Amino acid sequence: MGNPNVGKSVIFNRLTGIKVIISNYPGTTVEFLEGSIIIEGKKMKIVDAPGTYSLIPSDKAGEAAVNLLLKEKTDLIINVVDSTNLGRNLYLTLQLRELFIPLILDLNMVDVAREQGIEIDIPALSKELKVSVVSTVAISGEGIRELRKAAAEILKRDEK
Amino acid sequence: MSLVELAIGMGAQIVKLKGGFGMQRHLISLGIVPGKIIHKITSQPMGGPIVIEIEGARIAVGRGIARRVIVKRIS
Amino acid sequence: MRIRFEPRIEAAIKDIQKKSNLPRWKILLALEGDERFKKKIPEKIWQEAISLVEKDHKEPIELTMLKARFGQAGAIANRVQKVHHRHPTFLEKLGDITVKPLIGLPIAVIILMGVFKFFITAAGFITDKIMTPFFEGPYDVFIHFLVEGTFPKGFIHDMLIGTPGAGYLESFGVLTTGIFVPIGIVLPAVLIFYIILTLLEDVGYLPRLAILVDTIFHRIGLHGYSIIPVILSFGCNVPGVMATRILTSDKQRFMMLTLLGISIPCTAQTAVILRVIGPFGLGWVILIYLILMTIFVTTGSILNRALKGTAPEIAIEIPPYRLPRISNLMMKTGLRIKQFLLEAIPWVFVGIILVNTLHTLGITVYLSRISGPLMGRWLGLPEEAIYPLIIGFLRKDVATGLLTPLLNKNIMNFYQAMVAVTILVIYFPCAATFVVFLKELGIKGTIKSTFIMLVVAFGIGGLLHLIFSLFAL
Repeated sequence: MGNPNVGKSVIFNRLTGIKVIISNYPGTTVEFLEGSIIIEGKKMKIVDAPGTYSLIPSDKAGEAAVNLLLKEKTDLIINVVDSTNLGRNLYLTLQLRELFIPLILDLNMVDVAREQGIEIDIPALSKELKVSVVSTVAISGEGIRELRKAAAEILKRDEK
Repeated sequence: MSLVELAIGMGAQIVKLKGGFGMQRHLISLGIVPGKIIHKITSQPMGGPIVIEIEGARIAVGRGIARRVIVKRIS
Repeated sequence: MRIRFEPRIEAAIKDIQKKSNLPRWKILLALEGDERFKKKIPEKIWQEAISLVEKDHKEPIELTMLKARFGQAGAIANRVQKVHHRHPTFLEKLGDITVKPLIGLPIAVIILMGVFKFFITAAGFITDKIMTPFFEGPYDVFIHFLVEGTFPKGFIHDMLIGTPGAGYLESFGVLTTGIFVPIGIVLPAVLIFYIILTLLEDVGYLPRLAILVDTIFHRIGLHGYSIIPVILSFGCNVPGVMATRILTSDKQRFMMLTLLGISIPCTAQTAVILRVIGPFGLGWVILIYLILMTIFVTTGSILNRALKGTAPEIAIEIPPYRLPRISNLMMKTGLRIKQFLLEAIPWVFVGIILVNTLHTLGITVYLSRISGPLMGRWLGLPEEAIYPLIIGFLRKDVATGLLTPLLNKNIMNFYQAMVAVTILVIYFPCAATFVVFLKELGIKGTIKSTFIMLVVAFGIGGLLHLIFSLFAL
């Protein structure tokens, strides 16, 4: 989940195996990708939801993303955020946190943020939101391993 | 003064957003929030959209919407 | 774990929670304006809870909540990030320049010209150098062997192979033209356009292009992003029509589909223009495109006023320019092509079978006989030109083959050819588009759209004929 244009699909490609299919979410004509991801040996379904600025959708894409989240049983949300525009992206994060579904905050495009002179104190952010935070550069694949590790930890902790 | 009258290249602070709740929600979610500092980058001729810069991000809004974004100039 | 709102809002939340046992997050979303959850809270409870807050802030509760939550998000961001001032990078400056009209528009024109140049050479190369030799070589031997063996003669044979000897365009068989057109002509065109589109998208130029053209599109009630279906339709209208899904309101989608069908020539239609009118000079070809553009704008603005429904304005974020990643580019293009093959090709196939049955049953011949006089007088076209126009309704490529000889044997003079080609280009590009219209708009929508198309086609046709005859040509 995340705002449009933050690199969700690129991260999705990095995480999923080869098998990626396009499926139209029933009811709307917004396409989104479903794929599979292996975590701790367990095969799980992962979905690249369309971009939305808030849980209250202002367009069809947003509606599809929200319906997907609320209707299907979701074990973990990977909230991809554009690090160059943290303030605006956190709006959706705060809403997602209220849902009590385990959440990982993925600060993507940190390379672009660094270029723009933006430095983000990740431990502080994690403490503020009480959510695990990783930083990635989806295009080059930097940080994807940490993202997988963080996902595995949360899902394991969840099973206990 | 609204975004339309603001001269290109000028900095300004957003005072308030006129118009319906739906439109305000969309603008706020784009980052156009009262109190924020913006710069006007360009506007398309013949009533075309207006492009502004907020905190590094560039946003383009239609002329009608731009008329309802009230700003005051800053140095 | 939760973020606290100001006391009055928290009180309102607790109040609703007590009286309606809804979880906190549903109440919060309801307060922020989500109708689905708001309906779950009885009106009386709702009014009581929010009255205090609304009196205090003198604005609707949804707005207060919105600003409150946005404030929290901004506050957290400021606490955790340090922003050092730095001068804008080269890419950012380039980004701004390309969106400014004075410099941006010429650049956009150059890019679009480059796109079409690349498209025509690349698609042409694939079709002529790869597809045609393959189809006329090994594939041809294979299907002849297959069909000749089982159905040497009769209706089935004609259906599958079509008129023997004729090239892969005119033979009309399901297995010959039916396969060659979608795979040999349409697929290369769509492939090239998808590559170009994905490249423009990944680089971040597409939103800028959308803004530059938004002024024109807004005049007719559409918004800048409708440039995507337009570009795609130059390759083939089928993906173009499918791309209209990005438009939100039904009114916009109906208008976009009708306008695409009428004034955006697909590969086959462009071929008709180039082959029939091309030899007479580039000026005439450009004239046809100018006519199409004026039709696009005028029909658009008429439809915009005629149809009710809203025309929402554009309000988008322009992403910074990024260097495209080849792997990502290939992946996206691959997915789009796969989707095109799964979704569009079947319709092209259905379209061709439809035309074949009409053709072999001779219905098309009958149609041309009854509409002959009307076409003749109104459009000033000779009898022989009527048949290509009828068959051309569903098969543009075939029409070229039938029109050129008429022109060479000058049964038809150049100006009559201009009228005929203009009408052909205004028609539905091909049977597949007609079928996809049915899928996207349903029966009623398609009939309405077709009606508009016929009115425009014969209107313009008649007008051209009038103008030409005024100059006693």
